[in-house]
Amino acid sequence: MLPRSLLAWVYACTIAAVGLVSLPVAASDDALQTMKQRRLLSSGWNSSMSEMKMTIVEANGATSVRELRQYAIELAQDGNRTINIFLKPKDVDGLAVLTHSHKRDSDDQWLYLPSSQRVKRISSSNRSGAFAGSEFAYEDISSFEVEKYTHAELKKGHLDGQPVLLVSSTPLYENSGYSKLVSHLDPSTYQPRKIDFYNSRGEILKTLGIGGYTSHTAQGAWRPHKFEMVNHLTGRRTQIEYGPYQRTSVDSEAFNPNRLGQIK
Amino acid sequence: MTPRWATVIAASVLALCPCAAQVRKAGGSLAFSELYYLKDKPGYAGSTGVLSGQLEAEFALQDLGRLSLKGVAHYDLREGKGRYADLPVAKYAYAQERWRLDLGFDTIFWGVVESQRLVNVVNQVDPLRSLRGDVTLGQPMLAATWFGERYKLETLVLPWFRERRFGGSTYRSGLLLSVDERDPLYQDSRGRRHVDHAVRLSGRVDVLEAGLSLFQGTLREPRLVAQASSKDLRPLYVQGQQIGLDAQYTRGATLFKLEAKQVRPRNEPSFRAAVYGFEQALGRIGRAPFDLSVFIEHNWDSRGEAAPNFLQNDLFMGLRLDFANTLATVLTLGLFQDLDHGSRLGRVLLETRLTDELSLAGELYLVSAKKPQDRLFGARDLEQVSVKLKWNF
Repeated sequence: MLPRSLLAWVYACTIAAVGLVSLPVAASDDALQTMKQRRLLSSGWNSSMSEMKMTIVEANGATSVRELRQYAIELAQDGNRTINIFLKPKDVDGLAVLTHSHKRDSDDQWLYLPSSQRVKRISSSNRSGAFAGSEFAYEDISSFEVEKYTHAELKKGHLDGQPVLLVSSTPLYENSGYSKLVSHLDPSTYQPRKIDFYNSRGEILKTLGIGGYTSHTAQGAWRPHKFEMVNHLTGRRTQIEYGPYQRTSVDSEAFNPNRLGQIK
Repeated sequence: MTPRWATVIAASVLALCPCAAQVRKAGGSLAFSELYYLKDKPGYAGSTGVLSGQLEAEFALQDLGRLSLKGVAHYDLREGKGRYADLPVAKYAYAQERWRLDLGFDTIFWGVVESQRLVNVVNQVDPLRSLRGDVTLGQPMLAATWFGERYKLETLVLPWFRERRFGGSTYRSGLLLSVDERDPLYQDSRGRRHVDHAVRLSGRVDVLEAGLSLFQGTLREPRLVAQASSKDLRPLYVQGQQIGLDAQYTRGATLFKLEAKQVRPRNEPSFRAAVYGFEQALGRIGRAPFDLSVFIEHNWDSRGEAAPNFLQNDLFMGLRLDFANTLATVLTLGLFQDLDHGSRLGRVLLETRLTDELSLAGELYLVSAKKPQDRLFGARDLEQVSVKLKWNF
């Protein structure tokens, strides 16, 4: 979920940025259409697998590490589907979360509990809840779908002395913990280098730094490999580092909740 | 006691493991728990310690399938009856695009509710490892599963019966029932060799998920019968059929749940039982450091006081507090309220990680029952608190 979600931000923000090239301030409708087109052109990675290491850094510097394996598949007619399987810590080894993201409706989620071999459908309404005790909320790791946001306020700015394009996006779905997200895009690749998350009081709640991009097709298909989310209220940080992405032959049937627990 | 062929299967799985092409998974845990009883009972120890362990491994045999193994061992430091081992999983699995075959010992989970396992009929429960009935023994089986886009059809052949363990009246960590489990009675002359069958069709339509299951064979729940020659009761396993239904309707943060079954024992009156209720995810309330979930379920059994468990007309209320920390701290509070007698069974469970490898759990059971005719009355002697330290590797 994570890379695709954030990659989707890349797509979304890139599209918004493309709009910026022609219009200093794009209307939200234009940005939406551009994002859909950009996403279409960026698709094609289909089914993939990668492993990631998540390091949670407490405000006092103490760290704890999680390792996950992630399968993802892109569907033409619906949102993406992902399976996150915990590998470490060992007490949650094999625990899996299956998510069916939808373009307009609420996501569907299932949990696989290896100790009892139980598949349990769970509520996906707790979007602002913390994922695995990290600074990433469920909505941060959920599949990004263009239709779940309004996108506007394109303008130019600077980040670490480099020019960036700024895009403001407002969640349309219920139970979001954010009033808006502001993405800072590289103007040459249209990839986000930073995203600021604002709470309902208009304060910056969290900041996500993104780096280590690689391109996977001739058309682009950029994927970031490093993330760092900083919570400005608590002082906690969560770093995520992805290993190589592998294209797989895993088809959409493997993402059927009937089969959750079989894919390892 | 297990049949020769089952031993052969388990031994084959074990023997083939080292030859397997690829180890997909290997690990386990070792735990020590200390249990204290809250009430003195003359002639019984006031506390006990248990060492328990689990080993788990999975091997991929290239295109020839997969071997899975999970073994558990339980060693009571003070009582011999608390020393045993089991194989919840020791099986070979072969899967194709639309179907899968499993052969060996396996553990099946059917159902949706939290307060009991009503329709989960395949595996025998193991009350010595969990008073809640949520821990089961491995069941030898040949299972074939067909996967549709929105449904799944499971067919199981169960050639060997696993008897329930009681521990006897002298083993306090058991159920304190005077049951002689060494020589159970069977209604069918084939005894534990009777071949049972089960089928389950499950699927989902939008936010509704449901399963319909049929079981024919030796019913897992024994009837306890008196003996003329002994004061001990003997388990009687009768033949019968069970039709089970489980369904969950997910609406936003609310999960509506239902489990119902009709059981037709041979030569005995049939009975029905049901559990229905909901689970509500409330998320984080205010600045509380946890996500809160609420569970409410009503348990009903048409046998009333004759039901072998205490859930004939009981309300279950539960709270689950998931603390958003790196220690995965979870506090669970559960209360069964008997609506006929007013008795109560309460449980508090606190689980937390100490490090990435070590975890700690504390559990408390409390019973309040005043009427001797109440099923919970005898359980007052089982009031207990336990602490468990677990090393995961």
